[in-house]
Amino acid sequence: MRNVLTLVVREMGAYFRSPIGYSVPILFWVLAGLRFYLDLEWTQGDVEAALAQLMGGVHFWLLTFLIVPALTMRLLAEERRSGTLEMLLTAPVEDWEVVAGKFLGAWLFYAFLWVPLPLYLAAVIFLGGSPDLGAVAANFLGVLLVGALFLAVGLFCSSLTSNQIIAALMCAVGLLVVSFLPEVARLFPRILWIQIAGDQLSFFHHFDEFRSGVVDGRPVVYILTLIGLALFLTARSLEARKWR
Amino acid sequence: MIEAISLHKRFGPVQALRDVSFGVAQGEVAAFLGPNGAGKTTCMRILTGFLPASAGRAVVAGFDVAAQSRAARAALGYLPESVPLPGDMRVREYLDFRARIKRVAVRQRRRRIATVVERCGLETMKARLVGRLSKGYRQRVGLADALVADPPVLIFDEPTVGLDPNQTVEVRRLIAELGAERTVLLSTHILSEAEAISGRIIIIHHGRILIEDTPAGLQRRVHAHRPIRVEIAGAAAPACRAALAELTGVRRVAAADDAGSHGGEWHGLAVHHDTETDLREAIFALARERGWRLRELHREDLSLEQIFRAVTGADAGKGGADA
Ligand SMILES: Nc1ncnc2c1ncn2[C@@H]1O[C@H](COP(=O)(O)OP(=O)(O)OP(=O)(O)O)[C@@H](O)[C@H]1O
Ligand SMILES: [Mg+2]
Repeated sequence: MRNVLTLVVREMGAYFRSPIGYSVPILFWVLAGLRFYLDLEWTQGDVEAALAQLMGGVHFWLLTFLIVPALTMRLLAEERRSGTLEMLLTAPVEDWEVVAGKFLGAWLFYAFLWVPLPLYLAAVIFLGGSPDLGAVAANFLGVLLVGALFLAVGLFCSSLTSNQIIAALMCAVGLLVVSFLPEVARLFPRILWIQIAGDQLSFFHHFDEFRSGVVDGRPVVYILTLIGLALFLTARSLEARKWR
Repeated sequence: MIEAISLHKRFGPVQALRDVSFGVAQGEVAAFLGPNGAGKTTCMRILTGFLPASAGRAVVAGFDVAAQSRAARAALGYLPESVPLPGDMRVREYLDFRARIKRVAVRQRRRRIATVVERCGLETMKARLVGRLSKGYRQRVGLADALVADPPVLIFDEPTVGLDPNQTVEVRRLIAELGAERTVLLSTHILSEAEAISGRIIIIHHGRILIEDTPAGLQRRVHAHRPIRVEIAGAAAPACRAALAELTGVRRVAAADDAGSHGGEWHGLAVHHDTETDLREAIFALARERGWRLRELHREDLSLEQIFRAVTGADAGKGGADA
């Protein structure tokens, strides 16, 4: 566990020293902040609607699809390209510790992007709004979970190649596949259980539950399962160097 | 401390290692000697658990590198061939990260880092970005990293490549020092380096071990094949060559490879022979007797190619396993 912590600290350091470390937060804060402000304007101060847009509107998804590949493409592809993976994996650490460290580091950085959220809330309350904090918390939990899932997919893609650009492209495709699992599943009409599972596979559907302020155990478990699967595959892909 | 038992490794069609077995004991420095593509790096990667063997097994510090990988890795320090380092960290910070990941106890960490920084001559570079260091300093950071957890087994892949002559001497001395109480396996292309720092030389070619011997033993085997380089003045070149060829054991006297570089009265000659005794004394005596002047007399180093020819009696061929 201490190794994981060491790796998380290392990964955060790498973020804050790379161009990604300042360009992504600035992009995100400017665009998300602007959108939040405009939403407040357009809805004439409907705080709930503006917050729902901020954490689940079209802009949210666009930014997420842009940011996640940027945050994850480097993680393992660069270690592979520069050869530092050999240094890392010949130290007494387990493959899963490397995966966990990279994943948690990326996720913490993603959470860091949301630092302005409490500020927005404070500002809204200061200006006389009264957002339902419970609903906001549920929605934010959904945001963190979806972020974690997307980052895990990106990490897996980064483990498959030594080229960051290819990792980013694969990540974008991977995110689309994960996002539209039911639609993808319909391409395979003869696999019965997929049909039965149907919409349950859609985390958009689950995500909307979070947005409406309901935290149910099942979607949480579902998303955590997908995250676990992606991380498991990442660890296997690190190990795959051994099969060739 | 290091034991390889019948290691095989293939990469698709390329057979990188064939039936490689050897052992290195504690307090011993062993050197892998072989040309490009011989399989040195591959073998070291198996020993460090980075790659699995296709067949056979390896034991480091009593731990099987496949089954008890973590324990084996905890006992070894590894300097990879190209010394890959993350570009964004500073030397001290990088060593601190490596010390943490290698589980150096909190209370010893500072002291260990200070020790290896001093030992590898990195004091003035502590605050530099690792990614901007020159090749030689990167090499030293790699060495410091390998040593930081004070492991009993050290594996260095071409530790002196890219170092300036002073540094090369210093690193060789460091390795000799380390070898006193630890187990060291290193690789090199240079026979004289292997002879200078190791107690045992393992010559590997096309993924196979050709010879395993002490420097002295290897010397004996290739001794007869080391030509003697002389530079003589005071007689015509053909006369010198004829006189030298008369000495017992001499097979052939040829113009030295660099003979063109000095004209005039000096003749550069290479005396090829096949005797166990050192001919240099006899050559000197001959020169004195004939009244020649002599300004050079030494045994030339053999290239790896020549060594292979010497020990296998055949042309070992050029290039690696994939050639
Ligand atoms: N990952 C790999 N995939 C395929 N072939 C490989 C791989 N690594 C090494 N080889 C092949 O295995 C053989 C041995 O390579 P290795 O790197 O062990 O040689 P080496 O003795 O270290 O050579 P050098 O002196 O150039 O460092 C070569 O033919 C090489 O092409
Ligand atoms: Mg090599």
